[in-house]
Amino acid sequence: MVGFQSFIAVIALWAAVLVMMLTLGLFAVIVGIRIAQSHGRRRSERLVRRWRNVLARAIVDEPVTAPPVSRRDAPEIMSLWGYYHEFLRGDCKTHLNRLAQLAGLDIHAKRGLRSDRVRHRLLSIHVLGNLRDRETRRLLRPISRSANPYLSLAAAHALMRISPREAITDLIPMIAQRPDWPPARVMAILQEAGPDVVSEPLARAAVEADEAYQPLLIIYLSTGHDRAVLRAIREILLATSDEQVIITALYQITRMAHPDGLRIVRVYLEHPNWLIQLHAVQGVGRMGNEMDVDDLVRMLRHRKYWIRLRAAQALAKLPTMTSARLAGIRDDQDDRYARDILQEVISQEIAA
Amino acid sequence: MSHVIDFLLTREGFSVRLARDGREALRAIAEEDPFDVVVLDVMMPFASGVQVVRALRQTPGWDIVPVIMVSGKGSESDVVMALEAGASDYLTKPFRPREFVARVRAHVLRARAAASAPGQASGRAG
Repeated sequence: MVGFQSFIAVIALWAAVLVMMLTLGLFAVIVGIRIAQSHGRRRSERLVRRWRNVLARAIVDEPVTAPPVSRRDAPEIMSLWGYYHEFLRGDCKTHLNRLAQLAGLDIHAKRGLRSDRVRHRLLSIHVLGNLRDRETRRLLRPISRSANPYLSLAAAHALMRISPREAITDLIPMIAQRPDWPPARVMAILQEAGPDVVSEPLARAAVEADEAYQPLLIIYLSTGHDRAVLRAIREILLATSDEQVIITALYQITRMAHPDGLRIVRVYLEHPNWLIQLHAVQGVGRMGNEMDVDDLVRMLRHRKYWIRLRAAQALAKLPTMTSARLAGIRDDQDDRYARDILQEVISQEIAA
Repeated sequence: MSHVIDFLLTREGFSVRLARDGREALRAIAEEDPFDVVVLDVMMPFASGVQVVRALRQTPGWDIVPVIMVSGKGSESDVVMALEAGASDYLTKPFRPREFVARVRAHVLRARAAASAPGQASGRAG
């Protein structure tokens, strides 16, 4: 019995020693990690402080030298350099690019394209896009076709920055077929390239695209010149009976509010689909004139409440419309619904 | 961005007082003498640039200080809101450094010319 108890005591003692050693080991590891983190943070802060001054000087005066950048520091410096690139424009961008070449950031960026970490690859793509070195297009093109939406879109953006007129022909077929690319980002890329670059290729692509892709392309068309957009939309509408395409086209015309768009919109006031009619009425409300009064008055008797409401609002918005005339139109209506909806809009106008 | 603005203005001979966020900017307005010019970001922690400019316009002495707002938000409504709140100028990012410095100088010179008190021109920017 005594032998068994001493055996238990020995086991308990060794277990306690083991737990203690494990606790101490774990503590040492935690302290080590914290020291390493703190050291890394201080090092990073020193690096950023030093490079902020280098970058700030480069903004003002063209740099002739640059501190060398080690492989380890490259991502941090590329990120900082990219940040300066984003919120500045003008000659200073040339200076920043010169600084990047002097510091070897271009070499780090090319190497970074092969990194295992997506963040490093994104940074590298971003740097190469800002450097606008045409030689790097052969490295970026395959990435722009990759399955990863972040990398592919970043590469497409970089290519657009390097040579927009060439890259737009590759980009447009891709944007129609990449639902994983956020439309807001695509719009930003097209806007950055400017209407001179995107108008014609985008208009052509929208006209020739399959109806499934046309709504998205029509939305992107807003980054082009108004005339090219309207010409493309007119061609699309002549050839299509797809209701989603028609609605998107009418929405786009209404948003543009170009005087030439009014004739297109008027045609759809008679469309059998009431949703299309609704968009047409909204378009007339935005761009309409005295010639539209009769059509709008007729639509006050529409079976759908929303069309009656938009027609009444469109009437109220016409440049030649006055409160007295609107009240007169209300009083002339035989239809009870037409009178009610006009009264509702008149009340809203008064309240506003 | 504050670092670049600090660098550009210091290089031009201004004495720069940096505020890290909206709260610090409001504290500076409450506790310090008016500067020659104030440069504000629209989006700041704790108090937005628009809130700061409104507070500034209600503070005697600060109400005549030119305020230049710098922001990535460049829509018509953003610009109108800032100008209506009392900003003297609005610059959208990305901006040209030389243009920024020229605007600051122009506002400071105009404010100095308009100021009746000779002690206004102390050469400080915040």
